[in-house]
Formats: sequence, structure tokens, C-alpha cells
Amino acid sequence: MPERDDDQDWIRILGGKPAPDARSETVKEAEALRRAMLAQKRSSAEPSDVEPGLQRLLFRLRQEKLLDRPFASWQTYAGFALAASLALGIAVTVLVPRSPDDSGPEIPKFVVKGEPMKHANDVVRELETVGITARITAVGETVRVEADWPAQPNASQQEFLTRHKLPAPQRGRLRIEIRSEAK
Amino acid sequence: MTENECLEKLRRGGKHRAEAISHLYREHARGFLGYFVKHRVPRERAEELVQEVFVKVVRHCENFRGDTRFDSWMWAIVRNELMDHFRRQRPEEAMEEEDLEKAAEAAAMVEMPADPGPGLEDCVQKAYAAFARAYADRAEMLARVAFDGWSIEDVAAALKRTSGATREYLSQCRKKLKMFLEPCREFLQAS
Repeated sequence: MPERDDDQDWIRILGGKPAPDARSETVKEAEALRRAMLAQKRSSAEPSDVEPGLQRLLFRLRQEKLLDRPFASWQTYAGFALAASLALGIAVTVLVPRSPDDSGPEIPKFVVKGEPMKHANDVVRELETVGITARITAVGETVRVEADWPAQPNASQQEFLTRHKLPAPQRGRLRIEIRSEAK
Repeated sequence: MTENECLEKLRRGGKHRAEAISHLYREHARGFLGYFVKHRVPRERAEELVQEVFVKVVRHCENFRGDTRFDSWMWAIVRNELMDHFRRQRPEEAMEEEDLEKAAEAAAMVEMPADPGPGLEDCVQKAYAAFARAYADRAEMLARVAFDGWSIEDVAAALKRTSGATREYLSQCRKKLKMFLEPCREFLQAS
């Protein structure tokens, strides 16, 4: 049996599902493991009280008005973000050349007029509207925006890439470097 | 409350959203906290990370498309939060996906069970516990398969990987786990 099929049988048995054609060694291993995992779960299930944490969460959600905020569709947010980008009139250039010390996939670089950090914040906000949580790190005068990128991006996420002329992120990671135009 | 009811309430807002997030918190907060603690995040900080996760669930649930299980979507947020935590600790390093595992491995003592114990059950439990200490993230994904009936696609959504890459990931989980199960081999063959 190909190893891949054997692995799938193993996963099925681990999940408590039948795998009628599985090898007997695979069945023994996965069933023993499942029993061990369930036993460990039972023994480590400490009855901790989650209520204080929940009350803290609800308090914070109320403070930040996150309980009542009406949910607009992502298309609405994307429209706002696009309009904001145009209004800012930021000149964005994707530089193709790769710096010699870069390893791994090429990182697109934006050269902007004005503060790279401000532009990075705009990008982060824009990403947030398409459901991507990004973070910013500053390395010298360059600001890097990084985020996990879904294996199957939705339309609004794809549109984000197109809008900024970005290549498809490699290995599930979006990286953009932003620096100021040379003075 | 079913997943769909929960989502519907989250989207409606107000008392419905409070009810839904309370339900989710009671169902998942312990698991998320345990995951952070297993990755050697100090308890107090881990509790803060759990709070952040649920705030992000509220903030971003409108972007959830329903093409995966909702809990696997939440686990993607949990893993992201952990990576962000490590990145904040070491901002000078670009944290990669693989580093999540390295961070857990580096902190964990990779212990092969020297004494296999009196029988199969005991041996496999010790082996699995050692595996979970060394590969907390992988152990968590296997736990979701075993306890919550996650499919490969559900794991893929939590890992943010393709199905193919996830199959390979799970295959690697099995290979790594086999090393820990080696002392139990005789018991397994005899069973």
C-alpha cells in the first residue's frame, strides 16, 4: 500500500473513523495512540474556572464597543480602503531587483513618498479589511509588513495583491518592505 | 449551540454576540490556554493571549466565509497569536512558520521513554506525552483530529496550508511520533 494511503488510514483511525483496508500494524498503532490521547485528555482535564476570564473579555468587548458594532460586509470595507489609498495618492513602486543578501522568496519593496511607517499602517489597515492580520517591524529605515497568507485567498484578498501589483505570496507568508524615496 | 447558530448570533451583535462569544469562550478558552502554556508561554501572558484571540474572533468573524469549520478558523488565529508573541519577544528575527516548532522544541526536553512501562497502554501514553512535550503544535493538530473529528482540510485551514502540504505535515507528525513509539514496538506487535 502506498505510504500516503497508509497515512490517511492512520489519520482516519486516529479520528475514530473506520478504515476497512488499513494494514493491521497501522490499525494497532493508531488505535493505541487514540486510546493514549483520550486517556491523557481525561487525566489532564482540570476543572479550571473560565468565568473570570470571560467576564474580563466581555468587559473589554463592551469598552471597545465591539459587541454592538454592526458588521458591514468586507466589500464595503475594501471599497473604503481603496478610496483611502487613492486619496492618499501615494506613489507605490514595486522594485523587481533583488538585493544580494536576500535569501528565500523575493520580498516586494514599495518606495513611497513620505513616512514608510505611515504607509505600513495604511497597508495593515487595508489588510485587516480583507481579513488578514499583519504586523509591522522596522529594520533601520525600512519597514516590513508581514502576515500569514491563506492557501486559497478569497476575492478581496486576491484583489489586494492585484491592486498593489504584488506577486502571490510564497510559502503562505506575505512580506512587503517599505522604504522612503531616496532624497 | 451549533456552529451556525453561533455564527449567526455573532453577526447579529448586541446580546446575541455576547451570548455567542461566551459560548465559544467556555468551549475553547481552556484548550487555547493549554496550547500557549505547552509552548512555554508564562501563564499570565498566556491568559492575555487567550483574550486577544477572542477579541480577534469578534473583530474578524465577519470575514469568515464558512468554507471550513469555524473552530479550525479560530485555531488559525490562535497559532498566529503565538507566532506574534514569539516575534514580539525577538523582534530582530523574522519568525517563520517552522520556527514555531523550533521554539517549542528548543524549550522542551526531548525525552524518549526509557522505561516502556508494564504494558502497551502505559508505554504509548508515555511516548505520546513525550512527543507532545517536544512537538506541542503537532500534538495539538493530532488532538483536534482525534477529539474533534477534524479532517485533513480542517487541519489545513488551521495551518493555513494547502491540502497537499497538510498531508505531508501529518505524515511527518506520524514519522516523528514513531520515534517515540519505538520502545513500545514489541507491545504493539504482540497486541
